[in-house]
Amino acid sequence: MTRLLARRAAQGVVIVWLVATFTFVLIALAPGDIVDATVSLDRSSAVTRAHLRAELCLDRGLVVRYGCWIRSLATGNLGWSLARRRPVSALLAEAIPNTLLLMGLAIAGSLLLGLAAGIAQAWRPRSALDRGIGAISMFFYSMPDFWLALILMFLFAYLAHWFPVSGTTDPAVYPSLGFWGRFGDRARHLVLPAGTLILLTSAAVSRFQRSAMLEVLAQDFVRTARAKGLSEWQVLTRHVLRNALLPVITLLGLSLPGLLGGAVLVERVFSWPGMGMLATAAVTDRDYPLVVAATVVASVMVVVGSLLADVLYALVDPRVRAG
Amino acid sequence: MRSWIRACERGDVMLFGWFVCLAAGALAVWAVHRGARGGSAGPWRRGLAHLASDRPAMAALFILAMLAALAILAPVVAPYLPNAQPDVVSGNNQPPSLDHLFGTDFASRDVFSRVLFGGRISLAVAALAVLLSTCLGTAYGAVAGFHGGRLDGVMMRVLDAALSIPRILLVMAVVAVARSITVPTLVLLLGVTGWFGTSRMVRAQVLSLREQDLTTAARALGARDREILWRHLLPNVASTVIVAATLSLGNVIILEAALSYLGIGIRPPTPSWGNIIQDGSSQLASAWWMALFPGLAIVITVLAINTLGDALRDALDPRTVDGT
Amino acid sequence: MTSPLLDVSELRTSFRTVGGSARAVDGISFTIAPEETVGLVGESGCGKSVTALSILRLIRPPGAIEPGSRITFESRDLLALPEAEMRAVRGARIAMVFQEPMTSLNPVLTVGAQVAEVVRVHAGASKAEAWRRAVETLAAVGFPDPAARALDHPHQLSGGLRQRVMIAMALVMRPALLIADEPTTALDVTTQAQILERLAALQAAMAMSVLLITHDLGIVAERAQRVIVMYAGQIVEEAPVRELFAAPHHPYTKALVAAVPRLGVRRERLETIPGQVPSADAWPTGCRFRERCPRAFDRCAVEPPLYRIGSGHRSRCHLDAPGGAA
Repeated sequence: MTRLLARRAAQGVVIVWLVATFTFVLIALAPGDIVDATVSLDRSSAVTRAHLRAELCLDRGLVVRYGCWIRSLATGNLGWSLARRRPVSALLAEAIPNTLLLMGLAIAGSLLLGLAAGIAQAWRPRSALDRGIGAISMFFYSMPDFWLALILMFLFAYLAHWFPVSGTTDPAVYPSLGFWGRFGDRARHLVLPAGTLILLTSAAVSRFQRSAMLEVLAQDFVRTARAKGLSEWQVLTRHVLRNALLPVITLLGLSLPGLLGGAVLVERVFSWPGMGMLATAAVTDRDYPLVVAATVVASVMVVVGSLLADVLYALVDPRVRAG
Repeated sequence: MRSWIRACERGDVMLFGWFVCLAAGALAVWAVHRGARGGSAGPWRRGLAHLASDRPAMAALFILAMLAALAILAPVVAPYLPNAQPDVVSGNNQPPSLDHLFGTDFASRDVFSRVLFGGRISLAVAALAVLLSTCLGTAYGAVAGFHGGRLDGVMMRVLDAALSIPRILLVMAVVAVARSITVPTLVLLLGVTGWFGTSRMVRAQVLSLREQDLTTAARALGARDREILWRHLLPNVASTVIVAATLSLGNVIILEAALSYLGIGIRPPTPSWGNIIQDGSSQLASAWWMALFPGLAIVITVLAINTLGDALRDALDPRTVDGT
Repeated sequence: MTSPLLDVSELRTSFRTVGGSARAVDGISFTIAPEETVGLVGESGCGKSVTALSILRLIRPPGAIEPGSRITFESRDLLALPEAEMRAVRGARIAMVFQEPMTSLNPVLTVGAQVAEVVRVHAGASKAEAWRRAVETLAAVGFPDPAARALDHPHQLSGGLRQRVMIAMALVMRPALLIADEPTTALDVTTQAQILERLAALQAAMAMSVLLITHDLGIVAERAQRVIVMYAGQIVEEAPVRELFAAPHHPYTKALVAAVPRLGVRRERLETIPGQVPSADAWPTGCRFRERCPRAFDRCAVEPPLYRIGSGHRSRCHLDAPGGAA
């Protein structure tokens, strides 16, 4: 298994490298001079200009510039944000934990919800329950993420005043709260953004889970389990579920980019200070070093996430463990 | 002076336009039923029969055909021009009424008409982009699957890299660098970022077909590589491609709406479902109709597309036995 | 005469299809005595597997056992049992071994766990106790190094070993009746012989009855005491094994027996039965073998009942009607 993982990790490195190359091409094609653009916003002296130029190897040939770019990415220097006048890596470092929190909750929540829905559907296929859940899933699956976010915001923040409209905490109140108060405040702020993502993702998971379970239910070993005298519930939970989980894990790994994309929009709607919020603001400001760096970081996150999904898969499926 | 306000001068023409759109929906459904019953016993007939018996799918087809007709006939069926401001003085942010089915926006424009015209743009952009990405994806996948070996390996690594970036971030990165973006460029961008999934599916299909007897037989009869690809493999891949295209259409519509919402897609005042929602988001508490209705339009459209796509996939899957 | 262990009477099982319904099993009646081995033979599509699944009430929609059927086991009407009680029968009193050992075991669980599961479900045993019994039974079926290899997963075992696991699963609760549906068809010949040998030994040791379902007459000749021949959803002949092979009555049985290549007999070509088995959704009227029978005559337009010929021998052919044909 370690051999398999090592191979996947190596593939992951290749992928990130390819993305970095692509972003380099983008930047190289960018109209205008990035240093001038930076400096015009910053009004720094000529010394800084020269320093920046040297750092980005702008005065050298294309190939050297490429090497510079790859090297700086590898060492964690992600460039300089034009609009915010700070290193991109610092900005992202502040923002990524918030995004990870959101995505982590989204994955966990959608797994639970989607699994439950898929099981309920496979329990009695083509029943009213199955069709009902299927219709609801389809409905959420066809929704634009930002629109659902807006609707939920309207319903639960504006109309019902249950949850706040934006941010991670309530700056007016938070500092004066105790530990549990702070926890509660954070939780309240998390509900709507995470809830939006969970609803959207679990729709996809439940659709998939249902067909995965039906496929497993049609297999021979399920018949054997029944012949052994197990109840339908025991068959579902002890035999079918674990096998049906496998394609779902694969699916989650593959849907990480989509989930991240959804997070981008949800963060924007709820002003959640994560990577997506940062990127959308940067696009509006045409602050492309930030957006481009975010792209590379996003692909790293996806690669790491896929690796984790592979590990999880191997834990569940002994056939993969053997090598 | 009503002529510059109303899109069409006579109410009866507008009604007729609506009738035509409904008829378009009915026509599409009838065509499928006809094809399912019709004379020739081709492989398509069985798929069409399966489709015809699927009622939600037929409802979805009706809706989609009607929407397409509405998009084409928008100037005829919309009660107002999209940028017309019938009552500048006090007509802004009015809730839905008989005069304005979806209310008015902050510039007192009729939201219903804007949604209709917005549908035009959104659907057109999406359709073109999907066409482009389907062609690109099929070509890429077919070449990779057919040649196999090292070339396939390299192509797949590139594909993996492309798939690891969230599509919206990819578009955002390009837009950030390019600074401004015209509608044709948007279509191009959406098309170019959307072919990855299709190419994976096509590649898988081609790989399996390649191993099957049909390829061996063709080769035994002396066909050349390119011939095999074009005349034998691609028609078999057609059904996979159709399903993939249908399902990605929904994604593109949502993506375009998201981009317009962020301000980097279709720009106002040209209406697009996404930017109408953007206009509405700042007035969410007071004028919720601006955000609700375009979103509903998207949901209905994408729901219909996904329903139809699912049904198509079941209908065109050769493993689907009649009645199962 | 002791009461039979299993008494199947007028079993009819049908499946709803697009066109209507297909009656895969059409009026089967037979008995199995304690400690008896009965062979059930027939071509694919004749309804033998459906019969087996019907006995265990494992038929799921769109299939259903029709009312009017009766299955009595250990003096209890199985078809009238509530599901919970039927579950207590499955795997503990009547057990089944399936054809495909490759796919009939759960790939993500160890084989030991799968055998132990039967004990835990039926006897409520603790994990340790159930495991002990599982290993014990695995040893009894000839599974090598059972203590260690019970921790293996199915994909690590060969087909023969997997089938032994299946048999262990079936026998661990010492059922009174074992239904073996093509237990060795997927295995190579040497393994086949070993498995059947082991099964016979265990059967004797446990005083168990076996319903051996197969299309291989050779196996039946060696292992069964009585043979039931099925065709197109019906029983067409039933006889003690020697009698069946020495003097088959029904033309189908005759053709089957003649089709088996035999060492020492010179043959120019293999004997085959022309035509095809009719389809379950459209059973022909009259005798169902009529189209393929070399000896069909006008009376065959009427469906023959099972005529009694001698003790324990029945045949569904008008040629065996009392008083002669015609």
